[in-house]
Amino acid sequence: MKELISSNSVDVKSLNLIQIILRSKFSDNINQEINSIFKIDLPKENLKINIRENIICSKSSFDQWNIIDLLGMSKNIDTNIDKLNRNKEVLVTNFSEGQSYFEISGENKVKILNKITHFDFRKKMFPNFTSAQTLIARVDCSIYNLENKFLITCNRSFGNYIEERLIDAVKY
Amino acid sequence: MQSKDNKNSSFILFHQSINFFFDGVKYKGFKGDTIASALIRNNINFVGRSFKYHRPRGIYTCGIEEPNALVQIISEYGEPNTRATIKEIYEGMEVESQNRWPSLDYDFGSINSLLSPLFTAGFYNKTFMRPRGFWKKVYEPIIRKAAGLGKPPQPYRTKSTHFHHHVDVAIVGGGLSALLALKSFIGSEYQVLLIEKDSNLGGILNNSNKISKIFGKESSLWLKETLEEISTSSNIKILTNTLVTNYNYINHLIAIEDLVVGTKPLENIPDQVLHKIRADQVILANGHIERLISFRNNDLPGVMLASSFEKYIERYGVIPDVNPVIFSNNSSTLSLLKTLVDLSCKPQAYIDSRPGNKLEKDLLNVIHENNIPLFTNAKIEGCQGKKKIEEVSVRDSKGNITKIKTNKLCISGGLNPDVHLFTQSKGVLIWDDQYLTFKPDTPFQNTIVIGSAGGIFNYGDLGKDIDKKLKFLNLKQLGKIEFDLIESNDFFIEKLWEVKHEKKSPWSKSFIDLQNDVTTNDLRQGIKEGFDRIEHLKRFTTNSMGTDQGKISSINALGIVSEILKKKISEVGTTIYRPPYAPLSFSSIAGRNTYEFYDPERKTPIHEWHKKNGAVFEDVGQWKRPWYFESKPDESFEEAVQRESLHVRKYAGVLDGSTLGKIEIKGRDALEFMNLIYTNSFSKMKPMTARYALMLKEDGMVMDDGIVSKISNEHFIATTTTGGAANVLSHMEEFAQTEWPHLNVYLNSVTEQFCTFNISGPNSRSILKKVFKDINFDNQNFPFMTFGNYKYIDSKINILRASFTGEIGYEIYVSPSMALALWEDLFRFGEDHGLIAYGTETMHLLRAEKGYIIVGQDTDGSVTPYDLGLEWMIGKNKEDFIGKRSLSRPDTIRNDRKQLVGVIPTDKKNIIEEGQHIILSRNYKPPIKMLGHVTSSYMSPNLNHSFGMAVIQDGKKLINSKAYISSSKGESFEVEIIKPIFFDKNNERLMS
Repeated sequence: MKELISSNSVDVKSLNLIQIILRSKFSDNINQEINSIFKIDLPKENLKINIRENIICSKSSFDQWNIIDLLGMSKNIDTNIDKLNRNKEVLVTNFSEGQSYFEISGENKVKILNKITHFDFRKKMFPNFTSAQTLIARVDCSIYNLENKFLITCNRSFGNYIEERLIDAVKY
Repeated sequence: MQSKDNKNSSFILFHQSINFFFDGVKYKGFKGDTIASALIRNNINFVGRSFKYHRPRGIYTCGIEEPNALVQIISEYGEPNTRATIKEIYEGMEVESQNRWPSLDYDFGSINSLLSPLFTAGFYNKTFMRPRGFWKKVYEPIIRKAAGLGKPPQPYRTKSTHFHHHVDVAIVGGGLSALLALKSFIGSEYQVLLIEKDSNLGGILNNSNKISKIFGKESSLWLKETLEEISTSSNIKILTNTLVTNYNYINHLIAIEDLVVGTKPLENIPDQVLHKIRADQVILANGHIERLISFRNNDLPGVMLASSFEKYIERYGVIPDVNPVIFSNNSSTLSLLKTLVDLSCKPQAYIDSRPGNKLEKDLLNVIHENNIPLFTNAKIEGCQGKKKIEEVSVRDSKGNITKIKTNKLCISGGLNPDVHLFTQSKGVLIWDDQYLTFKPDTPFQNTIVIGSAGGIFNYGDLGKDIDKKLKFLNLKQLGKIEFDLIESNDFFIEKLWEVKHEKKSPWSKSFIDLQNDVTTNDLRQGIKEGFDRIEHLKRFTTNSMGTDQGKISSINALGIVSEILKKKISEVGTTIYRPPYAPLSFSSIAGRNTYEFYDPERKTPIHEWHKKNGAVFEDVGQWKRPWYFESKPDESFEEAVQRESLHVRKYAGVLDGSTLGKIEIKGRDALEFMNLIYTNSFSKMKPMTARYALMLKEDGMVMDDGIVSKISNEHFIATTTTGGAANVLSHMEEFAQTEWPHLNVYLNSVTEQFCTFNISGPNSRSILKKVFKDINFDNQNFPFMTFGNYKYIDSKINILRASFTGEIGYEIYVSPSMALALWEDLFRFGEDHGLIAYGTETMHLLRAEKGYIIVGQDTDGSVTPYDLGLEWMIGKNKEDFIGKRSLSRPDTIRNDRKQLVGVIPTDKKNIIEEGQHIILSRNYKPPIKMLGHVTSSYMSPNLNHSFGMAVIQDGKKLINSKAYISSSKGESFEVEIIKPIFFDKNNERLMS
């Protein structure tokens, strides 16, 4: 974790997290497999996030779920991925290092993000514990509404750029 | 006559004086003054020169509608065309007049005014047609030099930012009707954003004394209480100093906020915010604009719209002239008259085109009680003066002319709802016979128009109208609002667009569009020449064009045209008011998306190493890739590429190939999916082996290529070209989801999960043996196109034996967190083996020596695998794959298609260049048949001559024959057509 900027009632941090992407049709079987490892259920509703302690699981399309360890501490992640991938009908990919992660918190978090994205943050459009994919500073990002903070992820190669844009948005 | 301060105005801080400069002369104003109000306070009325004729121009209005007083702010990087009527002054501000040289008083360009009888409508179109040769070298340079208002600003880095809003309701305007509507939203469920261009809310309540009381309270008290009430409501947000400039589709508004009103912009502090507002419902309450009347010399400094004159008194605390002449054709000027009288200023005359018996009783009372000379049924025929009004000529109903000495003439030609934003939203207008204007009728979007913007000029109707229009939102009802008014609610206007003038001189001008210097005679001439459609006339005369869009004049122009054409105005119609409503600077549009933020950049984890080691980058999509590495500061691009290419073939080199697309494919039916997506067959391929694979579009043309690694029949990894990565993934997803939903297969992009290093060259194996001591890299254990999973420190890596250079080579896939460590290890162990980093240009050169294609360079979407000689990549026994059917179309199987060949110059001194045409004959006389063109060409340090790849008609048959290459210098040279492989034809180095 690295504090990028803390100013104007906003805190921006970059994080090192563990993330896996699960591609599969929903089934009780796969849900149980996930639950046995991460102690969390796959959400059935699109864009919805389930949360348990430091693990979040979001449904990002009809056959895709993202599971993120917010503390980046999940042990044996590769072993667990291998275990899940034994099922021939699913694809589980370690996404941890392919992504950059940013946490935005504080009273003015929406105000800052409104400078660099057209995304509609109103509660009725983006309720707590939902996720979305949108453009932030013209970069394809995922954003997770974790009630009192937002988690933003983007491809790692854009990480420096997004980091600088977030700092710039807080400053100006 | 002199201006005078009105210290009753609460908006100007008279105790805080401010020094500013206009054309180099120091003046004093007060905090809250605009440039215009401060200049008026200093009795400066002549502030600029007109666009075409360079005529003297003064301050005409008191707001954004100003057509004349456009100035350049020298202290803000020379920002041009700033409306002096809205820009507030600050200490030390430097302002310059525009469109004059060498000075405002003595302007060389004013010669245009003397030549003005020549410069009538259509002058440019007719005059510069002949002689034809003059256009490029004579006319165009002169016109370009003379064109435009103001000088371009100095380059500077924008500090403006952007802000996005999503609201239930956006209210445009902060005047009386907007505030009444806003009161209805207090405490409601709706998120409301109100946007007002002024720094104060209240509109007419601040600008005029028309309304003395509301619900029995002084209007200023009512305003104060209302604003306090609104401020308690958490669902309401107000933006002041913010002008809505665009009303786009789906209730999307663009507004520009000035953050530095009355202060000098500071370094690194944003000066403007461009707001992008998406609303469910837009309420337009942006008021009305007073219009002019056309008469002789109606552009002279000293002519001002009556309501603007009153606004200067009430809002800006300055009486522009204590004894002006007032000329009107409607009821709206009573409040100005009363304001002046209340301030002990007696107008020199009141001229009304309406008959005496039609004038309002209150108006007549004020006039008679104060002995103000009254001319009814009379008109201003014209003004006299050079750089300001000195005298006006009044013509009565009998045609008698009375001359009155004055320096200020206040005119009112009626009131127009400000329909610019409504028409931008594609709303339809309707003609109003009572007010003689167009007003909003049918909205195209979720638009509600209230107050005078909607054509409601009768204050008594205001509450009822707002209640009715907002009823569907279930808000609190306003009910009837009690107003105490200075003027009558019964507005009466007489039609008067233009006053015919007495002087027949061709230099006498009656202006209709002040900003574009269009006269009423221009309109007549345009119609005479056949431009009788209003949109055609607009373009022929430039009337209502540019940044002004005819704010104070467009209805008058329609009125004049309707009279010439003998049509009703409603039949003439309106032109379309174009966005933006007022100019936006490019810096505000760009916002922060400039310099390092101009375009998002993608960097590999090794980027900083590359920078430190002399990499010169090229953009590949948004990726920054090392193009070549400078080994010394003065090494040129060519020298670096030649050095790198030789070195890799002799020792070893490593390329950062992390940008290549990587897709993981898994599922019960993954094998079938891969067989359908690619031309190759993967069925007999052994696990843990790899294959060069080709992907076609449905038309049989090559779409992308890459290496497919088979982990098992259910699990593959495919690489793609850097630029094609996203497209290939969506192409695969589309087919998986829509064409073959019965297949159980899933895809994930793993491009960024792994970095890829391509190490190649004769020493590459030795280097890897040192880095990975436990891995056996011998040919037998690690043959070409096989791969394995290994460990590097604590992380998993994959190593694939493959090459894009033709040398023995390996691709190492490593997680980004370990990438730099591994990269540095390669160099640590590779130092003794001559390892260098090389860039994309060297990679291109080396692959071309081997005849390996690059999709997108050697292909252009019209090339089949057969054309490229890649028929060996097509799984002949495969039942189907994308593009298979198209490969048997007559067009794709004909022999004379353009096919890939190699070309080398017969005389090795000649240089082949990309894009050059291949021809069959040395004779270089057009027309000449082109066989095709060179797709790739390089100077090979390994061959010691230039070579190229080309696609030419019937290329395969022409192999081992001669052809010619045409150069841009008009010469040709001979080349040999050969098979497209130039180096190590038997792949001995590759397989060593």
